[in-house]
Amino acid sequence: MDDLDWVPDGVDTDTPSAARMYDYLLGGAHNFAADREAARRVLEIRPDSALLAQANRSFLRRAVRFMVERGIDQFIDLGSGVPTVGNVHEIAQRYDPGARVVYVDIDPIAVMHARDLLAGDPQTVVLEQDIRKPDEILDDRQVRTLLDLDRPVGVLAVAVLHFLPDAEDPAGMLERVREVVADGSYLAVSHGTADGNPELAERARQVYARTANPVVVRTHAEVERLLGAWRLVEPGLVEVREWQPEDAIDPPATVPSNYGGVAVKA
Amino acid sequence: MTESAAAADDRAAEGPDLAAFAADWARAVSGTSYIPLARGELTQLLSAQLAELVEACEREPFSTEPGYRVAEQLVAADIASPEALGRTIRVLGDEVADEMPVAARQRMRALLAEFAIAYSRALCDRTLDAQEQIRRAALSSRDEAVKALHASEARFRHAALHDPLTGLPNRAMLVEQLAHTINAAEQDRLVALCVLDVDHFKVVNDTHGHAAGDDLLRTLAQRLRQVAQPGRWFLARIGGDEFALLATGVPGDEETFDRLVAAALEVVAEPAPVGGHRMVVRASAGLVVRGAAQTLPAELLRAADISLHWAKSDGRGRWVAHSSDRDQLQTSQYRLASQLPAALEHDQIVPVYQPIVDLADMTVVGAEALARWHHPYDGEIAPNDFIGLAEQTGHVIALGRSMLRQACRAAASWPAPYSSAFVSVNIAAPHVHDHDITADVQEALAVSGLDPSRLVLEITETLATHTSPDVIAKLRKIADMGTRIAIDDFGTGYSNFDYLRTLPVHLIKLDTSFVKDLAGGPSGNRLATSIVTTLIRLAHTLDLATIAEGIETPAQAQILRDLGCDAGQGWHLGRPRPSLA
Repeated sequence: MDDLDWVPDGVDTDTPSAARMYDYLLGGAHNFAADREAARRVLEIRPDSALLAQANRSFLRRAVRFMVERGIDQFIDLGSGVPTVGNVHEIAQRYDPGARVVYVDIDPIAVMHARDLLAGDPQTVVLEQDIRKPDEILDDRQVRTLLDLDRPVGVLAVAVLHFLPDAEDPAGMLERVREVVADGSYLAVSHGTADGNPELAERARQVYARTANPVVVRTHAEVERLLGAWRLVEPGLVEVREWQPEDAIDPPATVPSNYGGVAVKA
Repeated sequence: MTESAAAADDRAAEGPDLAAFAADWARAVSGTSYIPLARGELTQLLSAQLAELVEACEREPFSTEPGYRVAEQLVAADIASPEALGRTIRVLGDEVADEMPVAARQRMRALLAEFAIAYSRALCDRTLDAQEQIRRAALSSRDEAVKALHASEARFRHAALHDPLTGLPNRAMLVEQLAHTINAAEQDRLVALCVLDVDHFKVVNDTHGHAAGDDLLRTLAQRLRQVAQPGRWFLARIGGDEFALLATGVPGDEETFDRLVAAALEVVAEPAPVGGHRMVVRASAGLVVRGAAQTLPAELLRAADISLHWAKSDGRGRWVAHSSDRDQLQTSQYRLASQLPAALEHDQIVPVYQPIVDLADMTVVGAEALARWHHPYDGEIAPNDFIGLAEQTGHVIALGRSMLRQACRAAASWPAPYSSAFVSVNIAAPHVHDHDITADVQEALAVSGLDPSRLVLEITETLATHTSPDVIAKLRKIADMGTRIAIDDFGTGYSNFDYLRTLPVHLIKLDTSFVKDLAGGPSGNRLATSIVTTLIRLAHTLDLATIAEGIETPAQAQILRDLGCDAGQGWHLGRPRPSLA
């Protein structure tokens, strides 16, 4: 290793990363001391953060399953993060062994780890790209080789849009994706909100503000606006735990923390 | 035993309600960490594990091994957290075990002890693996970033050190390579540098356009690459149409270097397609070969450039090896050139006088003033070594004025029998063309008091054939004062003699070369004799007097006298001397 003073963006393990904090909250060990410390601060503010992260991850699982059941066999996971427990290709391939997945993330460590994990898997591609550049993603040669964009695709933007302030035009990104993908394509989104407890949300926001990935929470109406012409399927945009729950055992969400929904290009 | 205790024992005998306990267990562990299963799937999984454990409690011989296996399966199914361990022990060790017969209950606790060990170990391994993976990912991505940085640095460096047109190294890289080569070479190694320049390349650009010029350069670069044999010679494009070749060798390789340079010129001269035509260009080259220990990059470059310059001035389309003698001569000439103005100012350049003799009676009728430089360190310097410099540097005018002034002053003071002898002074073409020669002559005459008729100005035939109304007017004015004009080196240049009608010419001086051939031998001199005869006749017809130069033998003097030549000068008739008297 060279004795460089210079550390490129995203390769600095001393700066907490939202992807690795998420992994820690889900019970994973793909994280560094700085990530764990930041995650513990979030937990101090909101002791149910781990459960909320799990709820988000469960939503992803249900959304993927929902899409597979509707014939979707190709996915683009935008902001896939550190591959941790229950990755999209694992979920999808449990129901459809032929399912193909493109993982997209801007975090070079997450990408490198995913590539390491998926080395030689012909049904997955890991792209190091900025989700704010949908054309770069959808025109990528590897993506075009793995996926057939003339057929419906499942687009996943789970727990990622709240890292994009309005100035970065997340709505425009989703609309551009909608324009490119085939009719019948699905989009799953989940998004952090302060609707339930603004004061707690603000304190959590302050923790993330010191990470590589500051958070912007949005209201229910704001998240719906991001979806633009994407048409939400039942039950619409709801607290993630309430989105098509598989069993009634989950405690009902009294206080919303993340909105989730699946939409279709019809 | 109480009623209730007996009822409990009955239930224990029947065994626990596995389905209900599996549901309890699933509820207990869910939420401990993310488990990628629907609740039903989770319950199903745990139900199978529970059945295995319960069965193990009843199997003979008893083994705790199933505790180990169940732990590994749970962790593998991502039911993997300290909380899940604690809650599992609570559900199985308390709720389930309580429902079992005493013996089975103890076995269940033994199984759970094994389970806890195996679960902890699996969790620990899983954590270590994850840590290793993420660290490896961090290191790899850092490596990738460093590689990307180096690649961009390398690209930048490559761009800074290469010529985009041909892809060859540029001058900066040549200089770097030169320093490296010289430093790295062993003491006895030779370093050879050739600088090659396409002759008249500008013409290609001007006539066929720059795109064609660029095509030609690319073609030449490709050919030179082959000559240079990648790895043997270092080839660079160091200027618009200038290439350089660098190599090392051992003493004895000089011929190899020579051959390479010759080969480089040959490939350049092969016809090349330029702008739809097949064009032939040539190149000139300079080569310098030095011992690695005896040279420095800047010196080597300078020497190669100088040699290239020689190749150009020697006529182009050739190569010249650097010669220290030639270099030193040129250097000393530059030195002299820089000292010329001071020398003129301090009258270090003085005339000497070579007698001009009437061939009929052998009396001295005049003298030619010849410049001599009395250099304070270098001694006496002959005109050939500095007149050319004076012409190149523009000091020839000051030199002409100085000679005029000094010669007129000297002639004015010549005693008898030289008191009516003329003094002949050489005047350079620019002095007549671009300066007020008339005023200079008038001033020299006025200051010295010399009779104008005793002054002769020698001009070259080239000047005489390239006149203008202005030049004619100046010379007429001088002639009108009584000063005569002589044509120096008559008959050697191309001329149409027309000037003899327009210019006030009084004398012609026959060049040394004609005189030399006159006494060469019986057969060889007939032509020379005819030419000289014709020239003298022509002069006399035009009423011009003739002076033959370079007479070194009595025989030459005799022949010229017989041919009717009026006067002569040369070593036989009198060497140049500080004073005529």
